Amino acid sequence: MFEGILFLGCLVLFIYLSNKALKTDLEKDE
Amino acid sequence: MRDLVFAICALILFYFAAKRSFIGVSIWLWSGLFVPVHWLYGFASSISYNSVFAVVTILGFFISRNKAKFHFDALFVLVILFFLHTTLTSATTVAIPALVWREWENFLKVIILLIFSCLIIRKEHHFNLYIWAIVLSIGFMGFVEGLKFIASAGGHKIKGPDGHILSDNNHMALALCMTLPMIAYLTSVTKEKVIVYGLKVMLVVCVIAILGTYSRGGMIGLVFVGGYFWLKSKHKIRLLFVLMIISSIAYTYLPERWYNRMDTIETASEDGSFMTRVNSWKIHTLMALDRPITGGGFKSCQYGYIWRSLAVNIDKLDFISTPPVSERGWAAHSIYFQVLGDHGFAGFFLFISIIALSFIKLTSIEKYYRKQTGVDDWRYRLSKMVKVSLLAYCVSGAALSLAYLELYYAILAVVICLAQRCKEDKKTQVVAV
Repeated sequence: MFEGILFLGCLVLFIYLSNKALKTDLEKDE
Repeated sequence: MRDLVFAICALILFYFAAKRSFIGVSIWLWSGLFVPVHWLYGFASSISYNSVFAVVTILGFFISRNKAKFHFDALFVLVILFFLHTTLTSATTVAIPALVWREWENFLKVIILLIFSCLIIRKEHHFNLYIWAIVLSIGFMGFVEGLKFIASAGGHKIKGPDGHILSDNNHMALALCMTLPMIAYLTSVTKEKVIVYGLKVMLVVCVIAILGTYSRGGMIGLVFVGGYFWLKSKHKIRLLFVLMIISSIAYTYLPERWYNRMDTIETASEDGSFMTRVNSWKIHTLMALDRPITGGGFKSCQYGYIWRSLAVNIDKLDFISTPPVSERGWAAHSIYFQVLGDHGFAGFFLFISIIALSFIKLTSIEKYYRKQTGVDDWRYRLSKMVKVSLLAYCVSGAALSLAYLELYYAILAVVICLAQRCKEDKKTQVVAV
């Protein structure tokens, strides 16, 4: 259970960071 | 439930990977190091995520119109030459060709990832996401294992997931030693305070996880990494205080047998496990002496019949006395002897040249940015931390068979990309992000 929550947290963080990186890239392109 | 959540998250990550190849290559690296299927039990565990993200990244790269320029790089050429040499050693192997080619195929996948990383990663946010991929795979595994170790009051045996390359406690310790500088780098470039706090906690738990692996090589690597941080730190007293906290936690949880295990570092020549390694190093050297250009091919010395045929001549290397050689073949237990036995002196020369050139390049990059932009520049910080990571690999790897570790080649890709970035900055003389 505890491991599953951490696993989910890791995935959510990676999605958040990917989204942030994409936004930064789009801003730089403009 | 876990599979369903992961499948949804994988779809979202797939979207990002398709949007930008730098995100794709980071997720490709993450899925290679983390191997998500080891964490899944249902329908989602039958998919090769690594292959999916590799295909998406490669297609995305070729479709993309804004490709980064790639300048000639000696380190990149050396890595490719080393790979080509392993192709030659596989073609001329003395072991079972089908098994050797399987190892070559695994190495090919690592090299393809390195090539695309080198072609794609250029900007600050590219580098940072790539480093995050390392931290959220190896660092995350260390964090989970470290927490289990603390929760079980030192009873939990720390290792990676079963079937994973890090399922060996020593391998896990080495990978964590290499990841510590990456976590430290991210704490210095991340703006969100909550995430920085989380990274600092992860750093401490990973140090405890390294201690909990009972790995002597890991302990030596940790001493080197810790020593480097302390020597280069502006806050020596503060760092000493953190070290005292970690030591006191470790002292509470580490049992007597941990201290007994570490004591054997001093008496290595009397330790059976260590002397078996020395015998293995001798056998791998004998293979290189027998076949100096091609070696035996991937893992060739581990085959019993090859091992025994080489063991006949073990007296040639009697300048170090070792107990009688066993009948069954052993792994090299050293990145250097592994390459020596697998790919001969020619492969060894290339392998050492790659390491040496990486350090030379990183020192030169570090000097350039320190002079141009100062010590707060992310490129200066990254080159410094990558150097510590490589140092940990060279030190701890001396007693482990991890010459083809994906993490090491990902770090080499960072060195090559930093060199590319430095060349571009030197050309334009504009060092803005």
